[in-house]
Amino acid sequence: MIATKFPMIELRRLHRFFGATKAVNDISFEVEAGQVFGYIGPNGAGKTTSMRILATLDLPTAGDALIDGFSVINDPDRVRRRLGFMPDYFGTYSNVNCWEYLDFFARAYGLRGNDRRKALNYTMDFTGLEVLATKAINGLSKGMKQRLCLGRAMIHDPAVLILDEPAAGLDPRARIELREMINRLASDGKSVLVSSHILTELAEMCDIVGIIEQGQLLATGSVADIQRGRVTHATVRVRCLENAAGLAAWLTEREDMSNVLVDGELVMFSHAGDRVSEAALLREMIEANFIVAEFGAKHTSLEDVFLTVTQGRVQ
Amino acid sequence: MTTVESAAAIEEEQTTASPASRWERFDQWIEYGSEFLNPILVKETRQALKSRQFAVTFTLVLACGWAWSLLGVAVNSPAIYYSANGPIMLVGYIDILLFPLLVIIPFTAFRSLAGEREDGTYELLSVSTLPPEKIISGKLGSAVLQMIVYLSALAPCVAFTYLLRGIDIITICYVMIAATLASVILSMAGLLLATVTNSKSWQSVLSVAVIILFLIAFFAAIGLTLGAVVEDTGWRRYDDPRFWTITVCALTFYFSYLALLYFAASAAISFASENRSTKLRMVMLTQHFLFFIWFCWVFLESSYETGALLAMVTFLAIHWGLHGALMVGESQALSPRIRRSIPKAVVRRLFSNWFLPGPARGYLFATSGMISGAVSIVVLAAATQQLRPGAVADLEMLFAFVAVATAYVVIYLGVGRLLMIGLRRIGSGDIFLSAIIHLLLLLLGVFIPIIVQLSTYWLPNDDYSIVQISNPFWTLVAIAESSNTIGDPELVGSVLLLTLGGAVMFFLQIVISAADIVPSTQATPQRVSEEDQLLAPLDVLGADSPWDDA
Repeated sequence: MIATKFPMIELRRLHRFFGATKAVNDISFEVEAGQVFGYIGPNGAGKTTSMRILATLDLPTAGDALIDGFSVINDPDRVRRRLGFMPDYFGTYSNVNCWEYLDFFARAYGLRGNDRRKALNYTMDFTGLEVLATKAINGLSKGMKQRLCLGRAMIHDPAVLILDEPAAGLDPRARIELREMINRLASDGKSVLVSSHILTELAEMCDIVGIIEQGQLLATGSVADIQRGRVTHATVRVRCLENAAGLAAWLTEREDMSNVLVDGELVMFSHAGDRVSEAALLREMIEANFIVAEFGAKHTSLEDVFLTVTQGRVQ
Repeated sequence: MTTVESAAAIEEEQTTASPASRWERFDQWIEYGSEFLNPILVKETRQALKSRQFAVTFTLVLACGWAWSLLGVAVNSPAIYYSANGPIMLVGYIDILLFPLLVIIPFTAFRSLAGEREDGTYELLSVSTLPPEKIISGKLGSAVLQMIVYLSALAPCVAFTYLLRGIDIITICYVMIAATLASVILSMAGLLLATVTNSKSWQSVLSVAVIILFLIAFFAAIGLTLGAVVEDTGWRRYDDPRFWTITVCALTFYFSYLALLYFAASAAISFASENRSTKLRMVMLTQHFLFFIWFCWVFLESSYETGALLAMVTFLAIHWGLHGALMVGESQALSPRIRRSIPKAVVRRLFSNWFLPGPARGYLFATSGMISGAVSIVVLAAATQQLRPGAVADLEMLFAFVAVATAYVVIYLGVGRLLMIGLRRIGSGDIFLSAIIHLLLLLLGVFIPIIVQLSTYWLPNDDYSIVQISNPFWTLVAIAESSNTIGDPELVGSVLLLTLGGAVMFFLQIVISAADIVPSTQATPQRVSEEDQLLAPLDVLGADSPWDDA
């Protein structure tokens, strides 16, 4: 594939209405080559609809979506050459084994002769399916089927991968393996748009996340950017061996503290500030002769960010 | 023995055609051959070879063939040695074959595509680079492959009937080819019907309708085979050139309708911004010329019988009326993808515009087709009359018939299009809605005047009256059966009013559609041009060739 000046994925004021329902309402974002974009949102938020438009399976009501500079509306054939799509269902055939399944899609993407054999071998190796090559698809576990579907999406070496809930229903081990595979694909220069409900995993693998609710993109950027922009408090938990109530009173007097609670030796409070100011606070506590045996700050997770951004309105 | 000698010996041993290596090589050849085949055909063949349904059906066909052989020989013995038992045995074998050919294979083709749409595997196919035409041809190819397997299974039995006397090789081949062609077109129809709906409940209803359709075709084919092979109705005139001309005529229409179904099915599954109409319109135009050519042949063969020209007009009116009703329901919007494919040169645009999608162009395409056909018939009849005076009987009646048939197509399609414009303003309209609206219009146009005429005492019940002006069937039959069209004031009134109405409707449509008839072009996006240039370096080199300067 030829490197271009265009973003690999670009949504331009995308709208998709189903009657009065605004499934996607004015969404715009860009994903560059080698980036993993996490699409977060509750059920019915519009993730799958916008992914289907990107995959040339649906048409937008207004706006456009571009893959490597090509419109999904007007150049679906060029988009499809660059795109691997993994929907939230398996889509498998009966009486077909893993090798035959991937071979069929390799042929469908126009791979012939040695190119096809190389693509099959690489995909089988990448997804770890070599040992199951002759096994019927119907007999595969869910995790193996997901690997097979990822293999199908990447068989033609696309520059862009769109993965709709790829980790849904997988056991922890399979999730870790899937995450590693996605990271490898990104390190190979592929742009990956992945949606998931498992937010902690997205936080670990995504360079950028977009939070979508009721068809609108509420926030977009790196997890850290969103945290900085949206959530400014860390929950701090301190075990003070003596005079916990005194520590609580000392903290209450400070401006950057709130929600101070005492439970025996434990003092919990919200602290507005970064890790450096937390370290300074600990030093001040010790200098104020409080006997601190434990100091821990729980920073905002992607789930916290998501709940804050969506204001807890999970459908 | 040296190392080299021992290695050579081992190699020789390996290459002396052990069964495994032969199979491997055979497998490699098959693999190599499959590179040139449609991926869907390869996949479906693999699936069919492991499918229980295929194994059971194939075994049953084989078992029925053997059972019929044994039963036929036993029942007809000892006369089988000297009497002509070929036809009855052949009918038995063909009837055994017809069930898989006309029911199982077409229904499997229907389910194959409908199942992909239900299970979501179709979406995976459509996001691949496989074009819709290849998806349909792959499915059809898979059906043809099954036909070959079933035909091969019973080929020895069919060959056996020739040895039994009473049937000639041409009839055997003719009937077998006809059965296969029927199976191909039914499979194609099954594929088209599979694209009609995505809804599972509607697919279930459609499945029942489709299987009923195939069973009707199966029983009709049994009747036809019996009539054609056992009861010699005198159709087997292989030494008569007209028999072969009619066969060629039937084949041209067969392949044109097969192409129409193929492009319609491909269009139904293609992406919304694709041009779904141009290929279909080209087939429609080809069929128009086929109607004209073959009916001219009938006209000449029948020594200038007016009936041939009346039949030609009727077929053309049905052809353009039916296709026009569908084209009028096309989407008004022309995607940028299509607009950038419109030729820039004025002359080329003049020809290509007719074939572009859109209701306004669709209306003009259908009515222009009908009008050009009508003019051609009038010119043909007038020229014949000029060259051979008195050859064409009742020229006035023919002209009136042609004018009225054309006016009906123009008016009904025009009213239907106006209704569709109104409906689009309040909601959405598609080709199915357009077809229903035109059907309802026709039914209303036929039944309302009949009810009016039958329920009023001052109008004659049996004779034609001008009240029937909206009823194309009665009006056209009245003109065709009239011994003196000009002398019948009711008929003259209808002819004049319809011709005038047709002309008014045609010009009204041109006025309201003027802006839509000639679409604006769109420049190719820079990104597309860039990639085209990169992917076609030879073209770029070609432009710099010294020969270009010559």
